[in-house]
Amino acid sequence: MIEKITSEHNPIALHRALERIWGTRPGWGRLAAVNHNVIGVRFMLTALVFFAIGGILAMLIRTQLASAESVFMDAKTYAQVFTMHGSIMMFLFAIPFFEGMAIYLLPKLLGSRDLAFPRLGAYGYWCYLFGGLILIGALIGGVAPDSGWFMYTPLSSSVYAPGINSDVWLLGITFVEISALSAAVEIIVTIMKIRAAGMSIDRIPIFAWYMLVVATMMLVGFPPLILGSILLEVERAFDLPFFDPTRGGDPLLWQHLFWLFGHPEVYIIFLPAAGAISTILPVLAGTPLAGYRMIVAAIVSMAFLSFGLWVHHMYTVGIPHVALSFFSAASALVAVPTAIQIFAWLATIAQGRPRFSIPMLHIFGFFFVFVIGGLTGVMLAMVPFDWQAHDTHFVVAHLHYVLVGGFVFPMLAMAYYWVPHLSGKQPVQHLSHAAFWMVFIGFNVTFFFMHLTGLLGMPRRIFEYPADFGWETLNFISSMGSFLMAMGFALVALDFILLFKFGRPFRRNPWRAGTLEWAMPTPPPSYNFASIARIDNRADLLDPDKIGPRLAAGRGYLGIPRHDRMEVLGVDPVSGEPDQIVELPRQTYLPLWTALATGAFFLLMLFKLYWFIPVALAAVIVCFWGWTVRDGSPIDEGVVPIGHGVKVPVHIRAPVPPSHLAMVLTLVANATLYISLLFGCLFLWVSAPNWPPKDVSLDMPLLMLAAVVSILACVGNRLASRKMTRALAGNALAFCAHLLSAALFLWVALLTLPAPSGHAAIASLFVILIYAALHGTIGAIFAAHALWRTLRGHDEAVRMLDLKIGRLWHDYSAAAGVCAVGFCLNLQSLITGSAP
Amino acid sequence: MRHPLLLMVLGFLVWSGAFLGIYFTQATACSIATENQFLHPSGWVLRLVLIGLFLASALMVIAIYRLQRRSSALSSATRTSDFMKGVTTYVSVAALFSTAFCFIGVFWLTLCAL
Repeated sequence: MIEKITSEHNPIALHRALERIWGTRPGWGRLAAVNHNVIGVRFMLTALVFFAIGGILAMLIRTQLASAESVFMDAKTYAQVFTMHGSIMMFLFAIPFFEGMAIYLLPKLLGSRDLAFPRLGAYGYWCYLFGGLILIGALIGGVAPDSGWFMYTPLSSSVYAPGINSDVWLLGITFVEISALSAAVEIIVTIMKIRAAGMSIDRIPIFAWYMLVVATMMLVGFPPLILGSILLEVERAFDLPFFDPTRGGDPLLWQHLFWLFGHPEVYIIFLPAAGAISTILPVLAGTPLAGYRMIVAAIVSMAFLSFGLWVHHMYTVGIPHVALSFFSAASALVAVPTAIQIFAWLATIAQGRPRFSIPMLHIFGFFFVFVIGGLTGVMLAMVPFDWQAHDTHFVVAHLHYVLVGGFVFPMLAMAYYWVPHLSGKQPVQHLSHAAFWMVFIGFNVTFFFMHLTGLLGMPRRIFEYPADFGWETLNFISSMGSFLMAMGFALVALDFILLFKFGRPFRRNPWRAGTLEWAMPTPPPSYNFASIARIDNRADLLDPDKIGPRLAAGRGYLGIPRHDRMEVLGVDPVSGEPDQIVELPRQTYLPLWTALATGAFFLLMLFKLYWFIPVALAAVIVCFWGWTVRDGSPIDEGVVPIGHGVKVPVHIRAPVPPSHLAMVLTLVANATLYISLLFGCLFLWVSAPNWPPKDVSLDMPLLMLAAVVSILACVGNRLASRKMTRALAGNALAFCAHLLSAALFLWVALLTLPAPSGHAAIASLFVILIYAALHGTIGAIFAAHALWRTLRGHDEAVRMLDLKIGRLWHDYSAAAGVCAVGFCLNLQSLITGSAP
Repeated sequence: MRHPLLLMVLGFLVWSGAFLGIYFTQATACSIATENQFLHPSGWVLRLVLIGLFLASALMVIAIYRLQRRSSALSSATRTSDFMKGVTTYVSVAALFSTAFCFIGVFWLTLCAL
């Protein structure tokens, strides 16, 4: 029946119907956009604006350093400029750009209509934009962060940075990182669940493998930075001395937490770019990617190894030889999976007949620059050399070779490759060659000579240097190179403006690629595919020219719009067989309102208006609650047809819906933060001076009661899930148990502990108890939501998704509560045992 | 642990645990060594403990490799299973090599000297 209807469907009518459902409304309606095409482009354009601002700051740095004893900037201004340059490039450009690229490209490569959580993508974008605006606003106002993009304590602590500058960084970056974490969850769930039919795990496009690995790294890599930022902000705002050695804190705790994020961050930036190269290069070489399996294994191995070398940024802080060897070995080892990818790309070129187009030129630029950066990286991984070069311009040269080589050249390659998809026009390419050579030569002139100034002993971050040190000529050459590079980037921008204005239209698939993003009209419609494909080959070895017209005629799955719903296909993660229809939420202003409420929370923290913060938090909760109220299908069907005689359930009835997986991933990120916190506190006990504190008295009976009560919340949830007649009682029990456990943890933290500002040990216990109390409070909100649904007569027998998601939270918060109590008990006994 | 993706990374999960475990044991022991002659850096007990942890983690990675070879999730005669088996083998071999390469220093390097 379905097959008959779809095959007789008029493609134009189908297009109009789908565009009406999926399209973004004009005017103010644009603020309600949730479509991945819109959100992805917004991310990339905003990131490019930040790139331009960061680039201008780089020009200011090079102008200052072009001559000895320069009076162009004073030390204070220079500190703000170099801090903002690094922070913008890392947090506001590199990561958000590839997030945007993934948001735009992934659904297309996977043969889907959108990502798993469109509203989350929109919320992430607004958080990114508002967080970035806070940082840029501070720069314009002259109160920008000035302690370096790594914010080392005690330089960033309130003693040495009493103004608002460091708070801007800590709160602004944390605000921005919400978008990174939400993107990570969204990307993983989309790759695992939202694909074309038949796209088994061995058939997903190589770019999806890269993004799966990167998103997982983000999920585990960002929480330590967020934790560090919270602890430092808490120290600055409330005087809890986590990093103050006079009161049992340790500045090295910040370095550990920062680099636990900071080193994987380099690979988080590089891998999406490498994924793009693995996608583009085989097309330009006209042959399949060599060593597909080896590449997948290499990037998985690289992800793990990249977390084992954070201390290679801290070789000089005083670490025993054997420990240095662990990190040095891991630092050297990570070059192996990188080299595997490089050799696989070279083998692909060698096997094929490469086209020397503009994207290929940028890929060669990447090879040259990135390999040099990798080699200097291996040099710096060796402890004796690092001790000599540490904190010199050699390191600055190395990191720019890695990041510009590993990200900017691939970014330009992918821009030239995919902008025709986005614009529907092919480049005229009059300026492209000149722009490439200006960027390439300018970059190498700028940064190659920095290796030499570094080896001559020029330290990083100095704002002036004496004339007789012999650094001036090399610095002058570097500065000239940087201006040439800036002109090259301006030419690239002009080239793209000309492309959008005068580019040649094309029919479909200009590169003769084998990936699904070319099996659609260009520029893409809001729904990507009029129907969903079934694929029978690896997703980069397809024939978009044949698949495209069939899908446009509605001959795939979901070829008939149903009840004006935004429907995508959910599949089994391994086999790729359809197992559910995922009904996506329609366009809404809620992500914008939620981000504004979140922004209000951060601004109130920044301006120390703490009494108003509960209002902002309540607004955030109400907004998020609004997301769930409007969620879910009003029509409760069993299984529904998707075409070709296949019937599957709607996601709300499916065994593993995307939101369940999303909650598991959120808890993984949360657990990483919690484990980092517990290890951080243990680190202080192991290495911080001025331990133990004089007095650590904990009300253990109350704490144990709190842990037992938090377990009762899990019992309540299970009671509600098992028998519908007990839903009310079970949810009420979960609600009360969470509230009581939160109250008990708060009671112990606020009323029985000694003042947390007295010693880092007390501060640690205080924060851990607050963490447990916070989880109890959020658990109470989950339980209240379930209670509300029960009172409204929601049929929990068939719609258990919300209860299942709630159960994950209840179980996690109970485990967190028990761990908190166990940790408090242990720390108390350790302190008591080591007391003089 | 039947999901093939989790099975694939099991070896490196052990490597990660070993990394944290060995580093934490060494750092903690060195911190309290001044008060406890049993754990004194010149003594052999700490080195034996670290070697024990190293060997235990290497043996665990090998055990995981054998488990993966026998796992039903990776041994069915399908294209997907064959792909996952191939990638899992590469990743596990990498995990074993990484374990040996990263922690081999516990045999001879000074334990607590800066």
